[in-house]
Amino acid sequence: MSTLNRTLIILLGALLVAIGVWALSQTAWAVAFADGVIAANQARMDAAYAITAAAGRAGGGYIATAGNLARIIGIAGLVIGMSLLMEQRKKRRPKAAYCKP
Amino acid sequence: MPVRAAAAGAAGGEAEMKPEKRRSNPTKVNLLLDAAIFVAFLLALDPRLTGIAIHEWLSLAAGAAVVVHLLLHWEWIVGVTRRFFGRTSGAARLNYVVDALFFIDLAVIMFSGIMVSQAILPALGLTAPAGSFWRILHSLSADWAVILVAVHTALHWKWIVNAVKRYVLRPIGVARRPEAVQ
Repeated sequence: MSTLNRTLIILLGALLVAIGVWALSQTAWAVAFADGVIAANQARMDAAYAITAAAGRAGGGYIATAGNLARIIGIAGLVIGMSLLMEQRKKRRPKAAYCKP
Repeated sequence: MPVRAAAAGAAGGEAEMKPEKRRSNPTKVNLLLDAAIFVAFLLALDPRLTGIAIHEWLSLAAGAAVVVHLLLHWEWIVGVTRRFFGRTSGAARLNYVVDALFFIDLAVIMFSGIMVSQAILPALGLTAPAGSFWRILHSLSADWAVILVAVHTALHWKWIVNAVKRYVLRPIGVARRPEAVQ
């Protein structure tokens, strides 16, 4: 299969996802979902602003890159740690006795 | 001129004097491409840092790089798709599921990003429909992508460590202590 065909298959997959999301956006659920998230975000921002104002600091100027990198490292570390733990457990587990049929 | 080309030229005459094409190392290419995608993804996650125009064009370039990444791993994708319900390892299955979710998430990010585009679409003379649903979906899918990129990275941790040791750390060590090679 040529590279062009493979690329078209990948783009077709992305297009199918896009069509699905587009169909979802046309439902009443999408509007209700958006409104719900906006209300929750507003409440969270109001609370954060109240805390910042009470502490006498100014908001804004926050750069998310370091936070995102820390999140990625944290989650990846957790997954690696868990897989290492599972590997160790697997090694410790005694092997079942092999019986010749 | 590469040594092999010179030797071939000496043995075979004028016709074989052409320098041999250097074959690229797939691991090295993958490492470079993946590192570039990771950095682009990290920067694109923060439009306040880059500005909207860079955020959009960088994301589009990263999307194209992801397509190249998929093309480079095409054999694996086809192989595991065929064997998914048959004989394959649990690790391959887990990788496949995470990668499929990641692909869907990236497609959602790209599509919702196009729907709220403020730089690319206007540059093409088009207007985005916008709307709060698309903004929220763009933001939520980006949050999910952070988790998925972390899991995807963790599942390939051993490969990353080996490739970095081989193609980044070892060459640096050799450059610092050239006498160690001789």
